[in-house]
Amino acid sequence: MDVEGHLVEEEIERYSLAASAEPELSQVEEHLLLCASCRKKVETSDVYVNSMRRAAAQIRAEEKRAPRWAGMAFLLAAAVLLAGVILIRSNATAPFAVSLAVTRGVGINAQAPAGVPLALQLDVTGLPAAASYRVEMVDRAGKQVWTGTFPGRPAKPLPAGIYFVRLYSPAGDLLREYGLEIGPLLK
Amino acid sequence: MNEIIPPLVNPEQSASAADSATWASLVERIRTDDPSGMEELYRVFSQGIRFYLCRQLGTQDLDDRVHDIFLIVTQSIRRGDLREPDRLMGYVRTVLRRQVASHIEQIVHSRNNHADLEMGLRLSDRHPDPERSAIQNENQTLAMRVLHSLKSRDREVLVRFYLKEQAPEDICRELDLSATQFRLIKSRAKTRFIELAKRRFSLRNLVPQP
Ligand SMILES: [Zn+2]
Repeated sequence: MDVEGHLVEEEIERYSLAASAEPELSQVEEHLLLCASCRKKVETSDVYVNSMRRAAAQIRAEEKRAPRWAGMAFLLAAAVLLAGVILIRSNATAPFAVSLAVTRGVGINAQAPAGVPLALQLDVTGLPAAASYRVEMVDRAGKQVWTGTFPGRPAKPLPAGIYFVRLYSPAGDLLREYGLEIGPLLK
Repeated sequence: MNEIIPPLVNPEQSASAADSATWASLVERIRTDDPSGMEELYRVFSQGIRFYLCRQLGTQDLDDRVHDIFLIVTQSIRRGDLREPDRLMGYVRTVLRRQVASHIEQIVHSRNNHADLEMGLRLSDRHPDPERSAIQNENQTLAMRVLHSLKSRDREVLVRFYLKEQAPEDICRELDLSATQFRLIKSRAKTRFIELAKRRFSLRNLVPQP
């Protein structure tokens, strides 16, 4: 808190990143119950953090694709007949970055292609801080189709359908659920 | 200008400056069914409660949820559950957190039980709010512009911090940065983002509104 009792930039950023630990978390949330100017700052910070996460995920995905294509050019030169097959396989195995943003509502707010690994970028804004979270993906019927951690390895390729990604604390408490629609393979 | 609204105190004071007597007076008026107590409770907490619920659960049924919180808080004050009026803020927060947790549990439970009846997913849930998605995509584009305008080391710092959530100390050590350099890279990028966003949208539209 600053001298006037308002949240300082670092506290706001930690809160947006869901990295505030107790007792700071209680102090921040209690202050936000009463302070409109700090709520405004948190809203801006949430938007910024969310946008940077999505953009950073896009940049990482682009960086990963670039060497893959460079490598493929070499393979094309070496074995033209195999090129088509390699191209298909490469596209099929490159993880698709999918951002599951703040759940303002419980609807389906993200799409991803079927049949490719999914690099899940989960918005953990406002959640208790943890080094990693447990993630579970279930289908519409609630049947588990994949489990992993966030951050962690990409989720396995899934067929088209409606899925729900559930985020659990290390202690096993369900923290959040995101909707995800998986569609046909990207052309 | 500060916009804190503690009960019966100077709005220039901070939240923590609301003294025990003011909270005690508010709690006592609610306990004794004095309408001014309820009015003040709404005035002081309604925006903060809306903000918290909206951030955690979204805008769906927001008014009902806010109403439920006030109902729980006032009923428990009348029952005498809140023994220390100083803890009113903490108590409201506890009620909020419990309600959010229970709501998420309910969604999951209901979806698991009714999926076979096609009740878990209403038609309106199937489509993302197009305006919200458009704003999010625009903001992502602005963030891309900020990241691409940076030299590669600075971009790497931000990707590691925001995407990988790597600890600042580790980033500084691995990329040979001082803590001040690290803070500067972050604050410059944020300032740049906000400048671009202000230029692109009205400030109100930077944040998707409930
Ligand atoms: Zn404040």
